[in-house]
Amino acid sequence: MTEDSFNSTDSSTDRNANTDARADGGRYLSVDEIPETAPVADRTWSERIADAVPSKRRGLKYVIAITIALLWIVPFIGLVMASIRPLSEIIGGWWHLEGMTITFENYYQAWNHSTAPMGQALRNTFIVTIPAVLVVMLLGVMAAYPFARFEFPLKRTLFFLILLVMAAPPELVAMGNYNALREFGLFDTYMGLILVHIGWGLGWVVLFLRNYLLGIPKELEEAARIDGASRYQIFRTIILPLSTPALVSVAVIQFTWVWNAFFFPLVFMRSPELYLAPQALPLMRGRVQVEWGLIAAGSIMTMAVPVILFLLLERYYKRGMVAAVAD
Amino acid sequence: MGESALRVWYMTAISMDGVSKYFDAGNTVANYQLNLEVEDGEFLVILGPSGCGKTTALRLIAGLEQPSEGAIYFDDERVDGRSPSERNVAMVFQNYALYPHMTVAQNIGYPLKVRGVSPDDRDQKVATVTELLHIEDQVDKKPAALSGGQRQRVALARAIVREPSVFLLDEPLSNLDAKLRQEMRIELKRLQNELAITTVYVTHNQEEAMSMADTVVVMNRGTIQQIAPPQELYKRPRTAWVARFIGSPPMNLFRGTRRNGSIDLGEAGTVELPGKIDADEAVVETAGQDDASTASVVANSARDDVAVGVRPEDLTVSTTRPSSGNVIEGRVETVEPMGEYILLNVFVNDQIVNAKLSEWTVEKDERVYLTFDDDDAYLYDDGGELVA
Amino acid sequence: MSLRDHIDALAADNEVGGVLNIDREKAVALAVFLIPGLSLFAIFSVGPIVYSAVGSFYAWDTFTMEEFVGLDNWIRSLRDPLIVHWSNIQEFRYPMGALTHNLLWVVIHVPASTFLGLGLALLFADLKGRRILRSMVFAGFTVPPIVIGLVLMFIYDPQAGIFNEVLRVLGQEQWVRNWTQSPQVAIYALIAGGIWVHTGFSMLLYSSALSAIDPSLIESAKVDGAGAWRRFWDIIWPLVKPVTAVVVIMGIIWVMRMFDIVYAAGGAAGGPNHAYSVLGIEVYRAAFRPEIDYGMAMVVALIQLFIVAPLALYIARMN
Repeated sequence: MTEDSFNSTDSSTDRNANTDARADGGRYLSVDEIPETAPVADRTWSERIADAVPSKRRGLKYVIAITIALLWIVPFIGLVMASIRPLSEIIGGWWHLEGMTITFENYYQAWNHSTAPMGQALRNTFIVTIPAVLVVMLLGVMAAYPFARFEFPLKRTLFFLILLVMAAPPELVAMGNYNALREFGLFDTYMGLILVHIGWGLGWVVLFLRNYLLGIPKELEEAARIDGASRYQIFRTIILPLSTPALVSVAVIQFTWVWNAFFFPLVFMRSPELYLAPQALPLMRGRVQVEWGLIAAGSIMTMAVPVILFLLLERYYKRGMVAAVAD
Repeated sequence: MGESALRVWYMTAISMDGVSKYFDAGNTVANYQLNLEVEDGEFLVILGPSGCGKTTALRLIAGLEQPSEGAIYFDDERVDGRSPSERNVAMVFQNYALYPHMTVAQNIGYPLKVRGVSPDDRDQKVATVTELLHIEDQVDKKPAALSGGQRQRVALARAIVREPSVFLLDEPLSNLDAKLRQEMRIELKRLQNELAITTVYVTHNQEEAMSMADTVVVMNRGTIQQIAPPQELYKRPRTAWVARFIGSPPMNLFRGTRRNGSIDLGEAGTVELPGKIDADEAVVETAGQDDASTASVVANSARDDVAVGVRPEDLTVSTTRPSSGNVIEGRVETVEPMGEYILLNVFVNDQIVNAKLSEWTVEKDERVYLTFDDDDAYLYDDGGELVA
Repeated sequence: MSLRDHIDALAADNEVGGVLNIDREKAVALAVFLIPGLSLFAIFSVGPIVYSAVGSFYAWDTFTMEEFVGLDNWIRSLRDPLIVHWSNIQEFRYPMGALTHNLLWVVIHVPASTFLGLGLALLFADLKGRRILRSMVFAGFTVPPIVIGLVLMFIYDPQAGIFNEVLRVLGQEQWVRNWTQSPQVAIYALIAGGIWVHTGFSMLLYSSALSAIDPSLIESAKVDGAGAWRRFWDIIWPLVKPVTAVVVIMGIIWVMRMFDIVYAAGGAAGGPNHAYSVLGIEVYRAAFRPEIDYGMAMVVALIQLFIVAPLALYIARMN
């Protein structure tokens, strides 16, 4: 149906149009919406195309931008290809597509690897990451609240210490924590690693949430005080709900950090059955020939969790990243 | 209607006794030696320019601030040092401070919830106040979805729902447009009449103060300038500052020197204010038994510099020199038609004087003579205190 | 900070009993809010740093602190060719020592990723689908760094690596090699990989600064007849310049903490004959691989902190 047929409608074609509309799932206007006269095209076809297609310069810009972005992920494309092809094809070059065999054997083998079983390693990583994130969020927002709202002794000193820890490399706390965890009997345990991650993450989380809490209007808390709420009620019913967006940012970033961490597990987890996924990956290399397929499959499984989390909560991740360093 | 249920509230008189408030370790004085009494069920308005300490005074009563010196009493109980929740006050903030993550009903019910009122009682009371304020259709919305006037009503509802003994309002109408402000003024007054609750209302808008208050407290720079009912504030401004602050356009003040029973205003002429100048002597005679302000008049009475104040509406303008009375001479600078009256700016002795005219009878640059009755003139001494 | 607290401080000397109640109530609240978090922070972050700072002046018998030895650990560590290898530096031959390698990362990686980040942020700024484009570039930053290291090994592999394939296609056969295992060039190959990952982060910071620019400024410059080049130098650059300090400092911090990528490519030795070892690797080896030398590990970790701490404090001061 063209625009012209709308133009010459009498009542019978109206009816047709109407039934057509029902048959075609609402693709056409219903009778009473059909105007008496045909709509006058205010622009010609060539003008519309010219508008829809960017100018030559802009077109070139798009081509460059898309090319760069694609080149940027070529290494990851290679990783995916390697993970689903047999070793012989990988060594021949994953970019050769003819005679490609798709197999999930690498994933199966990586999952059940003898020295570095990814299945177990991923489970261990979850066991460490989830509590380390949840506890940091709760304790972080609790500690950030006084930093944002109250005066108390040593506040500036504590502030300085937090900044110092944020600048420190993780290696700097390894020796002290190694001895401390041995002392407490927590060395080579989930709990030990979780505690180290919590202590390490609290610094930036407190600073980040403090900056966010400073943006919540004071009047809301004063109104709540007048309404009769105690400090704890204010915290629970006003501050916590209002800081949800910041807490989501904290959750995503801290999750990524703990999940991806390699150095802390390397130092504090020594029993092979407790290895975390990033720690297990380098163990898959094999003796004679590097087992690219296994490494690729293991890498994909390990990185899938933070990457998916990033794609789902991209907005919070990016906003948090920017706020954490720029505020 | 549940209004009768709301009306049996326990009311409270407030008194502030020599209350001072310093910030930054005494460098900034917000309130200095405030003495203030608010009676049961009174509607008291604190009026002053921004930064005069009126909001701090309100926050001291609320308990959001604690006084640096002095005491605050609710009835006979001393409350300074107590937290807001121990004082049973309710407050409406300038920007309403509605909790953005709660619905209207949750906002209004919040003060009851934190006090442990059961959900059923809560719902019932919320229903009563939303009806009283005509927002029963909005209860499931979030504050962001409301108009300014509706937010205002929610804030009021949240304040009155738990039947406070004192009701505090901090510039509650300043974020509304002119028409809505007028409406809410009437609404607020109605509410206060119905509930008969002790109310302290802070504003910089004299129209609000004059139209709603039982008593107006005028503040400037942390001190109280005058406490009086609205009409008296207009009729007898106790200081030159209050005289200029109340009334629009402000009162004209003519600087002059007292000389031989008359006041010399320089080139503008001389005025005789027999009653006023006599009154000055009368004050001197009774000084011994009167209050501190009179004492200052005594101290100043020896000095000759004074100011004569006349309101624009009390000036009569003519183009010919009247034969008698108090005459001031000047030149018309501008003529501004304001609708209900015409505002003249007259250049007198390096000073702009405002006068109100009902008809357009003079033109720019014309020479005019301003006259006024003795009764309409105010005489202020060198320290700005009203002499007569 | 808050007015209320000023009052509380002032009122502390006041004899009114209620004020004392408020103070006590506030002290309890402070404790409830602060103590759980701060004690974990103190035990697992501040404590170990202090422990390292003190321990760097003591002799160690593996993990046990012995007697005070003054600056011995410091002098020994700074003279260690694993940290700074003077004779190799003079011949410009790797390994040149971990500290030198770290500084080389700073000199090459930081400017490169900053410029590339700004360039990509500008390129993507007004395109449709910029969110997808940015995410494609940024995604690498969310991937575990150990995976990045393994991916680099894969790319630079002589047979399976696409980088060498590109060289072959371009007819540069003589350059084909196992890049991560060739001592004299491996560090540049790794730095290129670092730039690849880190540019996304710089771009993110620049993008958010760019999107904060009021579009009417740029439009008014267009109306005034400014070309793209002028618009960049007169309007965009002055407004994003403050972000550059953050981008550069974050880049330096990231590079000074380098560990996972180097470990993945070169193991605990930091490449063949320590060819591209970095300070983090040396700390790990000194502390947890035989011969254990806790004193040196602490010194090297403190050197890492000293280089970065003033920069981090500068960022904090800036805001």
